[in-house]
Amino acid sequence: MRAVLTVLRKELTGLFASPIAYIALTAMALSMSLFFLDNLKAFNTQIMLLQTRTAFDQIGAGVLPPGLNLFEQVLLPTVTETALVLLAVIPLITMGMFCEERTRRTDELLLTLPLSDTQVAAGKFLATFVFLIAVVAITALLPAISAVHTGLDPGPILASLLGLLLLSFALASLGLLCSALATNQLVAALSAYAVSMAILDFSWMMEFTGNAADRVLQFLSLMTHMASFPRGVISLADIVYFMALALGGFLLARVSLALERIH
Amino acid sequence: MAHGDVVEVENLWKDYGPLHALADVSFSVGEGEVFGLLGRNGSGKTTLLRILTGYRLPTTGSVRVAGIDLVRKALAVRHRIGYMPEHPQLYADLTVRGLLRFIANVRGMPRSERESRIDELTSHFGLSAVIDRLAGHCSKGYRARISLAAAVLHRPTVVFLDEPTDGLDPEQRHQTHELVRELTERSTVVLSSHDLDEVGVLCSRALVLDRGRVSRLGTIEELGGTAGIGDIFRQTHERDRGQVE
Repeated sequence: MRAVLTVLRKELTGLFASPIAYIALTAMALSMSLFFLDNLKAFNTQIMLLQTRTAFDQIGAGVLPPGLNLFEQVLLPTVTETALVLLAVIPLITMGMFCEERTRRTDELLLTLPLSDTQVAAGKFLATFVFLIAVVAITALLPAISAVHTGLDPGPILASLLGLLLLSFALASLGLLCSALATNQLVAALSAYAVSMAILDFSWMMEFTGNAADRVLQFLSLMTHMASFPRGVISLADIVYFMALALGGFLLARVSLALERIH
Repeated sequence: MAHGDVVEVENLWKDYGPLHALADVSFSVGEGEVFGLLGRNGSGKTTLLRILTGYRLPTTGSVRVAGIDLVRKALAVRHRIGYMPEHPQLYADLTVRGLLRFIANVRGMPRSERESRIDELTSHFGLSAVIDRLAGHCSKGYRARISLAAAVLHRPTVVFLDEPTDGLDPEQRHQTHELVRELTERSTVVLSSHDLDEVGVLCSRALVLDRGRVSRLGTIEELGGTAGIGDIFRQTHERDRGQVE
């Protein structure tokens, strides 16, 4: 375990020494804030319209206006939009993790140290996960402030953050696997985007498939498993799905390290 | 293989598809020896060193380092060896001290021993001027010395050096030769080079590789000194040129 922590520390040092880490953190903070403010603005506009309608209705036909919900109309769309930003940002974080070692030839130093392939891969994966906890923590700031000032139920907000964290672990694992397999960082990032986009949502494909295939495609889609978290529902099946993706990526990256020694 | 051999290689093959990078290579290195791996570019020296250090696996054959089977117990072997790769590339985001600390931590050195050993090597290898600089940004000469310091940090049983003086100026070469001689007080050294003078000065025995096969093996005297090894190189060069023509 100590060896894994040593690799983890080195990788975190490397991440925070690169501009990509700060670009990723800034992009997340900025996009989260913009989405939040945009959704809040739309919510405020609805309040104004509602007030006008209510005044009109009081004079006229007496139709009840639809209710407003801060969580559903501001936080829920913000979480969905943040998930899409994560999809764009994570390949930038993961692309160099394995690939850069090969292109800079530092792997010759790392892989001749007394570290097993599992320890090397685990150190790199855990460092990425720790960094992603910081990324998701940044996105938690505005929902947390909203919850404190509006008395919103913190349950769905915490569940949403857990969902974002699990989604980011799964996407990171796919990105790290691409980095372990690719020969350069651009290929690693592009292939991570391609894989992530491919499994993001299969609903468009369901028009062309049968019922049995629909169920399989629905099960494989990332967004299917993200859907229940913002409603405050933490399902074991969803957790297992994300963790299985993360573990699968890790195991395949570890195998790719072992195969590299054969070449 | 004789008793007291620290490196034992038997019938080693390494194939890249149809190409035999190493073919039926066998040799042994005794304790405290400085053993030279000689050969022209592409003869298989680096491939052999990469296998001996566990960076790559052999296709077939047996390798034992310090009496331990390299394929079966790679980690145990890597604990006992140090390796300076050809054209050492170091992390651009770690300082020299940070890099040495990272390696010491991976090798399980206690903190008190780690710091005193880093200070000792910093002074010994003349690294004081760059110890807090980013390792990957140091000059070639410094990178060679840092890499050598990293290779011997844990006082290994065997040190593998891949063309340790390649690209260094005469003064840096001389310093590196001195450092290699000092290493032999504690460790066995296996170094690859295509510099005949270097091998003549430093090594007691040498193996000459030709297209992945053992061409000659023996003491420097048995190989005819640097002049004799030079003749072997010339013969292979003329043979290869004749085949091209």
